[in-house]
Amino acid sequence: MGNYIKSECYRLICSKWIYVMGGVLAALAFLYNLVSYLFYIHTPDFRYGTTSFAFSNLVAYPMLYCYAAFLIADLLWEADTRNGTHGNSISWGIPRTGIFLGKCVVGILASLILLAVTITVFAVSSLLLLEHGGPTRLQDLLMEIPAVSLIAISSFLLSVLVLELFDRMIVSLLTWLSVMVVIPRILFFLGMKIHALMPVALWMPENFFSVEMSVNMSRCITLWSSPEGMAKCLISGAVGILLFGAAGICLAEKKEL
Amino acid sequence: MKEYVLETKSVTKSYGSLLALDRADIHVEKGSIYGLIGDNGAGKSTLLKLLAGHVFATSGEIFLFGQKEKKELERCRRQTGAIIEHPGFFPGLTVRQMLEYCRIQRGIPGKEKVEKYLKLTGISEKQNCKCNTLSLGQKQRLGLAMALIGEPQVLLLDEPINGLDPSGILELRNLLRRLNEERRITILISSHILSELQQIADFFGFLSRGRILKEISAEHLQEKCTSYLNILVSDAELYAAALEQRTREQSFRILPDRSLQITCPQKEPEFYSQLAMEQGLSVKRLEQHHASLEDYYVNLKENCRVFSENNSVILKKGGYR
Repeated sequence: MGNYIKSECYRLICSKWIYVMGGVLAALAFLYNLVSYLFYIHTPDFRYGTTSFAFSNLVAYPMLYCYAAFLIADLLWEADTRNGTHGNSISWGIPRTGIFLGKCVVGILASLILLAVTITVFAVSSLLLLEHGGPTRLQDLLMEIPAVSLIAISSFLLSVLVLELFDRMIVSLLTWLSVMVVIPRILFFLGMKIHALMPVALWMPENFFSVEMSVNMSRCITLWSSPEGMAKCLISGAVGILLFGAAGICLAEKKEL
Repeated sequence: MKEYVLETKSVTKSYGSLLALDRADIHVEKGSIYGLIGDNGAGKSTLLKLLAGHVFATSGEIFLFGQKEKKELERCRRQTGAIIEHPGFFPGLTVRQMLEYCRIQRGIPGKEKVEKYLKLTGISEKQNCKCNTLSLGQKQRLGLAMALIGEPQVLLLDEPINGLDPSGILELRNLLRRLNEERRITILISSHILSELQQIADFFGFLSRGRILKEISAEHLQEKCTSYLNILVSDAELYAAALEQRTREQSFRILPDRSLQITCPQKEPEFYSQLAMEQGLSVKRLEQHHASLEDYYVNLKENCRVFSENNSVILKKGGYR
């Protein structure tokens, strides 16, 4: 597995896409703040030229990190089976489990690099260009990263799993969306009628991020601001990692090319 | 005792209701070149995929270097190189980067190996080109370089001459021969182009409809495929003496029906009938036979088909149970 990870890191360094994606994300983050700034200085009564509004865009939607995880996994390995490169690794005696775990490690590394670049550019440009103040602070944004980290990793594991299982990206995406978004939503609505289901539904990130948080122009109540909320995020992420990790290992072992 | 580096015992592979491989047994000796011959859809790729670990056998056993357990097979596969169906690579990487990627993944020390296999497979000049810009033949060369960079003891090649031009085929053939002779690499190569395999393989496995019909050495196959002349004269011994004296033909024999079978005749058929007449012998029959590998394969398939049809008739009648 060590050699597999090294080789994938080498590919990452040689591929253009990580630089392009890092550049595009950083540019978009900067551009967003620049546009807000330009509106702020040229439009009287423009309410959104504040760091609070800028930060709240990320703080209010922690599931963005999960979507980003799927996007990165897809960019890295969507064509792995179709290209025959997955088959190469198996022919060379690398265990399927090693390949699955190796992909997770490399993908998480790539995601961390992209995240670090994007968040840094976004936070610094916000602080430099926009008016300080408002309910959402930099601290909320920075605390969001550890809170969401395990959930995003579990989302990444699920992404690698569905991309390995299905040859077509659209099928992988729909399966991923079903597990991460649709099923939790259905459980939540069912929980309104069948009360026993509600506690289960409220341990799913899609639900607890939308129900147990309130981030807008006038207030910022994040889940991770309390120790219990932070614990919930971390436990939910850890369970996801165990669940999708185990499923990934089992299914990868049985997957034929 | 023969040492097999690759062996399958009653390996069956089915995809749903489709039986791709039916109780296949192959035996690949160490240091040999084994040609797997079969029509399209005969099961060649499935067999190679099973050996490479891409798919799992429905039943039966696979032995690599004498090992059959899953973990051991994975370990043994580190000593193999494979091109199954088509060489796999990342389109965005250059040829050199792709080889370097393979080298790192296989844990092979020494960056100079990349240079070595670029040269060996003749794609040095394309080393800075993206993999997706290569022609089919160049992709095959890259695939071979990727398979070789792990310095394997066994090569599994599925239709490797597909897409190669005539000079490419010749180069590949020479390269495979050299690898086999100099490094004792065992090669299992599949193809439906029989003449191509005939020029390179030491052993053949004939595959049809998922079944191995026969395994045969090149030597034995040569005997079966050689052209010969069959002549029936009034006195076989007298004719044989004359033949030896006049032509110095060595490769003939008198068959039980008193006819002479001349293997690889050096002269035209007319010469042999003329010779009989010169000896005052009458020629009762003169037949020329040309058996090619294709003929052999077609006959083999036909015989097996008839045999299996007869067997199924017997079974239906409740003959053998």
